[in-house]
Amino acid sequence: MTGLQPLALVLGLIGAALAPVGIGLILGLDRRVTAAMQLRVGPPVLQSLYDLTKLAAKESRPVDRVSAGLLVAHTVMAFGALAILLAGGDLIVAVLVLGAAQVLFILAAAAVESPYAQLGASREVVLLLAGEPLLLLSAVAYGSVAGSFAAAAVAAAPPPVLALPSLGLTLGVLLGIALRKSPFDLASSHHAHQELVKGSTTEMAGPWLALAELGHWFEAAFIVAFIALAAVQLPLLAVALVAATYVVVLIVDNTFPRATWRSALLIAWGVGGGGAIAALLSAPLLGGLLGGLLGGGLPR
Amino acid sequence: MSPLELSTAALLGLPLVGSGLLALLSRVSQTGAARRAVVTLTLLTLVALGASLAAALALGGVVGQARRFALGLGPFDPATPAAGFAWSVAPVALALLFLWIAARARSSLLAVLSVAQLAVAAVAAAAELGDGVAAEGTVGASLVIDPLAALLLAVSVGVGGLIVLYAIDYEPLHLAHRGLPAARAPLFLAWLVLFMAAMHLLVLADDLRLLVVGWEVTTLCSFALIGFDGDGEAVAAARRALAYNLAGGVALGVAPLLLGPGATLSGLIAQAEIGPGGATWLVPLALGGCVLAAAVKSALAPFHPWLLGAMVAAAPVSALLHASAMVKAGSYLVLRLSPAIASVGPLGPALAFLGGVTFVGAALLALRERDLKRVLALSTVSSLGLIAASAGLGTPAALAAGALLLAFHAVAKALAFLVVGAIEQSTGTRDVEGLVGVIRHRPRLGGAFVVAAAAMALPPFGLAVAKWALLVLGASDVALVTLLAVGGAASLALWTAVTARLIVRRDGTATVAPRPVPLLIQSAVAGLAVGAVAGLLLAGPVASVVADPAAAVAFGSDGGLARGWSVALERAGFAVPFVAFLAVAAFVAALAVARRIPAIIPQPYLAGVNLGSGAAVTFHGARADAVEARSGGFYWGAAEDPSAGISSGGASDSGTRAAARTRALEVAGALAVALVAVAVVVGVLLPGISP
Repeated sequence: MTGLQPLALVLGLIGAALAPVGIGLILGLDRRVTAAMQLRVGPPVLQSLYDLTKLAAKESRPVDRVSAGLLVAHTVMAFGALAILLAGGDLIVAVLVLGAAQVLFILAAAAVESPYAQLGASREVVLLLAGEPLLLLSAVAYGSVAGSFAAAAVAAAPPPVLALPSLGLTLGVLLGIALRKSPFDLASSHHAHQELVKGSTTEMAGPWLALAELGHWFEAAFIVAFIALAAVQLPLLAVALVAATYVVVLIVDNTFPRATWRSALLIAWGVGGGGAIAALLSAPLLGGLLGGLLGGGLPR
Repeated sequence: MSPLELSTAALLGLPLVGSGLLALLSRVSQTGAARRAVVTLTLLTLVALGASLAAALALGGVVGQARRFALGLGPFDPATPAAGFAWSVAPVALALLFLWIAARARSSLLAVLSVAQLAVAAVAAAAELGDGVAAEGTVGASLVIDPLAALLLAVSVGVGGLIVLYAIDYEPLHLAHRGLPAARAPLFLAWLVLFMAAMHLLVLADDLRLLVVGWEVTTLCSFALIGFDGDGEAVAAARRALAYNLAGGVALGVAPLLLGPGATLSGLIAQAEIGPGGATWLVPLALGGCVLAAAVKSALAPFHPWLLGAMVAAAPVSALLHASAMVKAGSYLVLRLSPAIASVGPLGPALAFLGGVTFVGAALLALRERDLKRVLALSTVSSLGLIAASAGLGTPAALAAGALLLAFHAVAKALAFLVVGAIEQSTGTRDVEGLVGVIRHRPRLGGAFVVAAAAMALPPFGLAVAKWALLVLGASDVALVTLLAVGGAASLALWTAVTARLIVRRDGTATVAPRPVPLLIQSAVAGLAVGAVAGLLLAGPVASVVADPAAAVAFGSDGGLARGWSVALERAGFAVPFVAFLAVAAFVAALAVARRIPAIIPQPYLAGVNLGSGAAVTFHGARADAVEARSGGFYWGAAEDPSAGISSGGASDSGTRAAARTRALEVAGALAVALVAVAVVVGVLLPGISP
């Protein structure tokens, strides 16, 4: 199968176009939960969406044409990666396209003079280095359970979550990276107490910052969909899985200080990579066990 | 001789003649007329080579079809007694030449290695002559042309031809810059063209004697070209390359020695595939020798240092070594032997591991480099590791993926080296930190570099599609797939980090006015850039035209990668057209937006304490003085060098840590080579074991 059927592709494109609303809501909930952890009330759940529309409506003051162009390309590619995933296309291809989107964002950040932006871009490279192998290994792990690397086949197979429990660690790290949560907030963060002004998005303002945000929301939606894929046949379990991963990431975010780039990389590769490798090693064993329990046996 | 035989013979003979004439022309003083003659002669050679390649491919019909033709060499066919004698003695003569070089260099290491080679070659020649000069093998079967050979020939003639074209304009400038006589330029071209002839010989060879001769002549050419400038650094690098490749040559020489007179590559493969019943213990040993020789030639860890040293040479030499010839000879040999390797017990997995380790290790090492040519060199080592891994996987689809990698890597890497050479000639540096913003100042050359970087790292360019195929094919091997995932991320990060520095907007840093770029250099770069951009859509067609047929010839079953414009495997599919559409849409949208933005240069953000106007990055210091804000790139694991001017953002390690990482790759590579050796021993002792 070359993956993308026309109807599936249309649905994928529609899904990807709607995804930012979902991510906006999740981020709103995130702010409420974080506020509750810090004994605050927090903003309305729709606040993240308000913020985005407010930014988009501001006066356009682009700093540099190359940077602005790369930012547009970044958002298009991130949208495309999400569409491939939602259309049931090849997981590894979707991951590679997402990687291309991240590369374009890094170049957009690096293209301007401000040393803050340069520093942020360097740190984004570290995050790319930290996250990309984990995404690839997770895709391979899904594929090894489903017998196919098509997202549609993974969705149709018995929930991979049962055969790949340790992959939860990897997915948690990936979500932390996608949302730039501590200890993976080294390139840019929403919080005012950051020592770095805004890192990679320093020179982006108004609608351009909104565009950068939108691109990141597509990336976050990709990771959320990727996590949900572990149990998509059992929607309640899928929602619970995403929520549980998210809560763990939030707790880590609120407990851990910002790490140095080196330790962030070490944590990502150690925890996330270890989880993925353990999942790959245990998948045949657990898959067989599960197959025995379910009676049917997993399609290999 | 048949027309097909004539056209393949032309591929061998034409560059030989062209090279000889160029060498003669270097004896003439370089007046305007002589210079024009050199240019005309080189262009004629290239055009004639292109024509004979086209004729060979058309007559053989090996493009798009799984066909294989055994060819003779006419009067030079080794199956005829006199020519056979000459081909057997040629390696001895070459070994004597190497011994002479060793004596002139007063290097005992080189002497020992060339004596070892002399011994191997002499014993093999004596064995053949001792058999009576009776013709061994069948007449007219010493060469072979099939899709894999056709691919290598196309790479050598197409990419190699553009490199020679570039060299016509590059070398005189380079010689002038180095203060060397201009008369050496034709000699330089002569060596480049001879290199192509040697490459064609080893690619077409089925008879092991021809393979060995081609192999050793590439060693000779690389030695001459790396040391061409004659300064201490170049000579040292050339000797190092010679030492490594002589050792590899000894390993290759073992194969004809063991298999006896008239042995062929196809015979070796057939013997290995018969399996434990028919194959003798000699076969795994001969295969092990070939794999080792290929590992040295394609600079897999721990044999990579020779290729890193070789980057002192001029840009066309680097491009030829890294893209179309030399290292690709090693990749070609393991791909050619892939079915045989797969049938000798654990040799395949050991080779795949060696390739995987090289892929990751070299990519991680490259992350710390600031010298653009070193970045490119380590990235080559990394990609060659990937090709070796695909040969080690030993399935038709893996062989097809390896062939795809080889083709697309040749175009992208040649482009990258030629662009870096042109940038260096134009700006005087190849230090990434010295070239910050070069894409802004030199949009054409910079754009070509971006194209090369994208072709190397991003989907759906052919290289990325081949990497995807290997991830899918290696998915069941946890160690290999981990190596592939980490290595893939490292090379993506590498190209991003380098391009991120070159794309920074930086005004007024160009201290030296850049020199204009000569026409032939521009044409060669443009030709390769067009090829690299075409790679956006060509993964499927290239798979169907050469990669799948190559697998079909080697394994008897199709690689099965091509699916129209897409690439597909049993368990997955890469919808190349959709991803290409996405990439083009992103590019067009970016262009449309960028065109509407005025070329303004607002003050950069410096926490609100900017001093000076426009793009100046000086800020108001604590003592009311002007401080310049500096930033550097990401060089993970670079030895700390305060004088290098990397401050904020330049992540660097202590010197010991950097050295430890260099050693780690060497140790891991040595371990992997030891595994290959163990696999050979297991293959000899327990022929029944299958992977």
